[in-house]
This record gives sequence, structure tokens and C-alpha cells, in this order.
Amino acid sequence: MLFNSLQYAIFIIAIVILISLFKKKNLQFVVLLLASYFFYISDSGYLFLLLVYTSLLNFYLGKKIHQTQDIKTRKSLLTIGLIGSLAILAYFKYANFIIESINDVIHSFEIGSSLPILSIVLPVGISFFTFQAMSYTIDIYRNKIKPEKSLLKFTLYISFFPQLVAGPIVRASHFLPQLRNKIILNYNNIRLGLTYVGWGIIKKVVFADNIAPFVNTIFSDPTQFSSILIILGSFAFAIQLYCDFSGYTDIAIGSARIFGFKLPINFNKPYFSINPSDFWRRWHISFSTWINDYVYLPLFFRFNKVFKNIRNSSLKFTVVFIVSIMIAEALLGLWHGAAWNFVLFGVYHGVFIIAYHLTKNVWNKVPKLFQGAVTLYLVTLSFILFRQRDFAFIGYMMKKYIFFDFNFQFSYLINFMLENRVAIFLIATFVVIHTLSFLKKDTIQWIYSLKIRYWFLFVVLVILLLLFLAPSFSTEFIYFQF
Amino acid sequence: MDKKIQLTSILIGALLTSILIYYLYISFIIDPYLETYQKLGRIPATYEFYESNFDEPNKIFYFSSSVFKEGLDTSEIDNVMNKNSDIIWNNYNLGDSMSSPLQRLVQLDHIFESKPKLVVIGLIHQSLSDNVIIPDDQLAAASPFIHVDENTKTAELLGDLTEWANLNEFEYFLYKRKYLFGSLETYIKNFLNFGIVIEHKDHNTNFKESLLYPDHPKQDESSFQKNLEKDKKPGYFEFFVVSNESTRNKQGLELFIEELQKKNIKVVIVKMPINPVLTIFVNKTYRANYNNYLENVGKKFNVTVLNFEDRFNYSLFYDSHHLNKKGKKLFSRELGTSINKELE
Repeated sequence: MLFNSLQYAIFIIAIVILISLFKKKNLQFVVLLLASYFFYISDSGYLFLLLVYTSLLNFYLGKKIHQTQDIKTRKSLLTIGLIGSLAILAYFKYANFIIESINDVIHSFEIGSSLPILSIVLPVGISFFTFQAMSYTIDIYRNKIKPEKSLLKFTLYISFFPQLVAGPIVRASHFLPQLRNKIILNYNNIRLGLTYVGWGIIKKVVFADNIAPFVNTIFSDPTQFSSILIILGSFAFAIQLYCDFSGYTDIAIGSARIFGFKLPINFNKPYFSINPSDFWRRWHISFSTWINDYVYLPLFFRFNKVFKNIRNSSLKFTVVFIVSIMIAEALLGLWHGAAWNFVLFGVYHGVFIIAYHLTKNVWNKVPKLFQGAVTLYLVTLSFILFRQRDFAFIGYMMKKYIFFDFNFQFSYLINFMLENRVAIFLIATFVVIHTLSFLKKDTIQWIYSLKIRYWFLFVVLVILLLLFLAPSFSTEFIYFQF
Repeated sequence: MDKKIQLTSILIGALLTSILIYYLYISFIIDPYLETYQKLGRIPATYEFYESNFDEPNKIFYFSSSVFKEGLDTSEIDNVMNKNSDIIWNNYNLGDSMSSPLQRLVQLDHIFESKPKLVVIGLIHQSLSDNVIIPDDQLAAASPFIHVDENTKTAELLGDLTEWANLNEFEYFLYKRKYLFGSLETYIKNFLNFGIVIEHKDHNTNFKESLLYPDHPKQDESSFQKNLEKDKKPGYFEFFVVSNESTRNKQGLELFIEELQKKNIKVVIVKMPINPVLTIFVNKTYRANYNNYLENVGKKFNVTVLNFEDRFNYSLFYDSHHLNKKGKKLFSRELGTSINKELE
């Protein structure tokens, strides 16, 4: 069930009615849990059993870890939890990637026959709910949180439909306390929630879906295009990706808010970042902080011990930092998709962050506008690795992007722009809105604070957009595949 | 007022307002746009033509893509055929943009009811190409007039496209939202009187002579070549790919001829003129496949194949395969003479 569909609107209305019929907290949570399972089953069918499995595994192991004092036993239980969770992720998401990579080696060296490709359907949102469940177990192991006593509340935390298939990745410490009280549907929450949902729909169906054909034209055969259009196409993809993913997040946050739940923000004007670290503090925040807390920092402390023989503390820090960040970023890339281009995407960002930290003193002295422009230029370059799967095309696009060819072909360029005028107009509009939202006031807060008659017009606009543009002519959200 | 009631009222009010705006937009912006739309406006007009011309005798229908629509003047054919004849022949140009034999299959019932004496099928490489399929828009636009039964050969050839031919009234109403941007742009252009907005409505409903492009500036051969190279997208020439495989378009043509002959409607095939400049770009193998295939079809169904392919020089075209005003007149006269001979 797509967020930008009429079915989803009916689904939400049905839950609101059902919740308002039940006064008891647990019954309300049962409604939400069943609705969440229904939401998942409507897309992935019997694969919802994986969701149940992940919930039960982490619920009982979390309890057991908390009850156990012995460090070794706690560690063993944690290991079981991590392997148990990661095993299904590895099988469903990475098995064929590993087989294909082995086959490539076999073909290259002509050392035998290929391994058969498995027939596997990737369960929607598996990367999100697996990471969410793992963070719960790890936090209990680290004594950061206590285990949840109620299986109902815990399964609802893992399966809560707004954030189930594409995040944000919510921490237990953030969500579970919100289940202490019963759900009260109130005016302010519903209005704010609908504002989030409406703005998310605009981002998705107006911007992302209508910029997509322009991006597809450039990326499907980039060798036809000179530098100017390669750069424009890459910037267009940056906007499409942002509108698609942050649009989804806005709808998720808004849907949860209708029922009074607060989900963390996932984006904070990422294209106004002034360095790569700043970018990852603004882009897919719930995931980048997850990687920081559960991958980068543990690696950093581990390598601190491994490289204890390096006496020069500055050098030791640099070595440990470089190794930890490169592994963490490569895994970040791999999380996005089971393909080498995603690994390269992560490695690219690792190098970018390291380069920034090594030149930080100089970098921080240059004007902020320049910092922002260079960061945007280099982040957009990285999206070529994200979007393009063909390595020959990646090479061509990166070459054209970095070494500008000054081949403008004005008449062709103008014709091409005219053919794609809707996308060009939307790109320009997005730049204006995004800039105003950064300089003046957050767009969602501005819409929320409108007088009721203007807010009414906003709702009319959103419904019209749904009527005209969703769902049969719109695409799925890009981040569903992760 | 209680805030919950206020919010509920706002949401219901917004929903009703949106539905009303949607309805008005479809009725007053998209519907008029579709009537004048070059690629779709002729479809409803064609069905209305069939229904209004049941009783007229001695009709000859000319089916093809825009090569007929733009390049055939059936008034000229009327003049040629009726000059020294006791019978008054009524020739109708039913050419339509991007039309293929496969698409014409869905019109068969209407054609039978209209009872033409002769059907002339104009073909160029695109008509039989492996790379040209019917746009779903054209079937959707025909859906108010047709129904394609499942388990028929037509449904089998259309495949997944059948669902577009069978949209009900409400589904087609929703389908029209697809034209949101195109209609809006045209509306704004018309409103601001900005740019050249060609009035296609008359053109779409005219089944005698093309009115769209009354004349064209003359081009020399080299500028023709340059324009072809410059303007056409890289995939353009793939439209001319004709293999020696049996494709849906070829099967559609054969089924179309077979069904017409079953109803005793005589069929003539015309290999349409193409600009000699274009032949430089089109693969010789594809041309050979195309020619061989039509020769075989002619023999298989005992149908005359009139060859106009290489009869006209570049100065009689306004692009790669559409005749200009002068070319159209010449072609129509020659075709009229040939059709006359066929009917003797």
C-alpha cells in the first residue's frame, strides 16, 4: 500500500475511527498492531512472518540479557540476537549479491561453472525493522535501556506502520515511553499530522515523480550528453531523491502524529550542509546516527586497542579514525543496496569525510557559501554512484562531471530543456522553496500556522494532487528497496 | 464550534471541493484539449463518422497513419474517380497519427456496419516495425466506443493493452487526468496567445483533405539530411526496424485483411511514398524484409499491392515521410487513377 494512494487515506481514516471506538489503551494498541500487520501483509504477504520472528527474537533475548549478570553469557546472548537478526537480512538481501560476485570471479578467471542464482523476494523494509530491533537489544546489553515488559508494546514498536517500510529508524528509548498512555486523538496533533502528510505528498507526487523522467533520460544512456546535462541530471536526481525520501518521511511522521506519536526528524535541509560530516548530520539522520552509535564508535574503540602500539597519539587517532570511518561508510553504502556501486558510494563518502577532517583547519576558514557550494557539488557527484548501476556509465558520468567539456550545443540544449520543461520548472521551484525554508521558516511549520481558511485550501490542493497524480501514474518510493 | 467537528467539516468540505474542481477541470480544460489534440482528437471523431455514415453508398476508406492523414486529399480522388464514371464514389481519408493495422482491429465492428466497398491500407515501415506498439492513450480514447472480448484473436494480439480498450466510462474519466500538464500548458498558451497554437479540431474531424499544414517552406536535399540528423532522437530510426519475424503488427495486418475479406470488402495495400533522403538512413535489410513481407501478403490474400515508395523526390515532402501540399495533390491523383483501375 503506497503512502501516496487513496487506499492509504482510507486505511488511515479506518484506523482513526477504530481507535476512537476503543477507550482502553491495550485495545487501541491491538488495533494499531493489527493495522500494521495488515499494512505489511498487503505488500509482502507471508513474509510478515519475518517481522514476527525479528520481534520475538529480540524481545526474548533482550529480556534474557537484562536478567543475566554474567558478562560472557550476556555477550553470547547478544551475539545470538545479532546473528539471528542479520542472518535473515543477509539471506534475503545479500545472498544473490554474494553469489553474483563469486560468479564474476569465476568468469574472470575461468575456474569453474557458475553458482545458481536463488529465487528470493526481498521483503519490504527488512533493513529498517532489522536495524531497529538490533538497536533495542544492543541498548539493553549496554544498560542504556530496560527491556519492555509488554510483548504487545514491543511488537508495536517494531511493526508500527508509518515507519515500518522506510523509516525513520526509531530508537526504543524514543518510542516505547510514548506507549505509556492511551491514544487521545486531538485537534492539534491531527492538524499537524495532516500538514506533514500533505507536504510529504506534494514532495513525492509533484516534485519527485515529475523530475524522475528527466533523470531517467540522462541516466539511461548518459553517453549522449555533455557535461552541462550530466551535471544538471545529477542535480535533478539529488532533488528527486530528497523529495522522494524526505516526502516519505514526512508522511510517516505525519501519520504517526495523527495518533499522537512523535517520530524523529530524518532530514534537516541537507543541501545546505557545509561539509560532509554536516551532510550526514542532516541526511537520513536516524540511519546515520545508527551507524555512528552501533558501527563507527564500537569500531573506533576496538581499533584504539588494536593500534595501541602507535605511540604518537595524533597519528594513532588519525589511523584509527580512517580505518573505522572507511569500514562504517562502506557498510553504510552496502546497507543501501546489494550492489558494488552502493559500496563505492559509501567508500566515496568515507574518503570525503576523512579528507574534510584532515583539512578541517583550512576548510573552516573559507567562506560558508563556498563550503556549501563545494559540499553540494561533491555530494551530488556521489549520487551518480547511488543511481547508476553500469560501471562504464559511472566512469563516463564522473569524468564529464569533474572535467567540464564546455560542449554546450546551445540549440540542442534549448530543445532538450524545452522537452523537459515541466521537470526544469519543478527543479527551479524546489530550489526556491528549499532556500526559503532554510532562510525563513520551516515549510511545514509555516503551513501548520496558516489561518484555518488558508489551511483548508492547502488540504484541497493535496487532495487534488492525489486525484490527479496518484497512484497509477506514480512510482514507488525509492527507499522502499532498502 | 467543537474543534473536532470543525476539523471534520474542513476535511469533508475539502474533499467535496476537490472532487468538484477535478470534475470541472476534466470537463472544461482536458476534454476540449483532447478534441484538438493532434494525436488523439481524431479517434472519437472517427467513430462518430462511422456511426453517421451508415447509409451512404459506394464508400472507400483509406486507413493509415499520419502519412495518409497529412498526405492524402480524398476530394482529389473523388474528382479523378467520378469524372467519367456512372457510379459516384465517396472516398474518405481515415488516416490517424501513429495508427497501425493492430490498432485498426478494434474498429472492425464499426467498419463492417459502415459497409465500405473498398478498404485501402497505406503502409510504411513503422506500420510493421517490431519497435512500434500502440500507445495506450489511443485505446483508452477509443474505449467509450468499443469492447474487445477476451479469448479473441484481437485480444490475444493486443495482450496487456486490452485493458485500456475496455475502460468503462468512469475509468476513462479518471484516466484523463494523465493529460493534466499537456492541457494546462495548451490552455495557458491559448489564454496568453503565446506561441503557435495550431487548431487541430477541424483537422481531426475532416475526412476529406488535410488542412493542418497548408504549405511548407522548400528545403534542399542537404538541409533535409541535416534536419533529419539534428532533430530526430537517437531511437527514431528504430521505428523503421522491420525484421523477418512474425510480429504483432504483421499478424494484426493479416487478421485485419482476413476479417474484411470475410465480409466481402475488397482490400488494396499501398506502399506509401517515403522521402528518398530517409532511405539513406534506413537499413537495406529492413527495407528488403518489408518489401518481401508485403509481396507475400499480397500473394497470400490475393490483394493488390500498389507501390508508391520510391516514386517521389525529396522536394515533394515536408519531412522524412510526410508529403507536402504539392506532393499530396500529385499522390492523390495517381492513387485515384490506380484505385479506379482496381475497381474496373
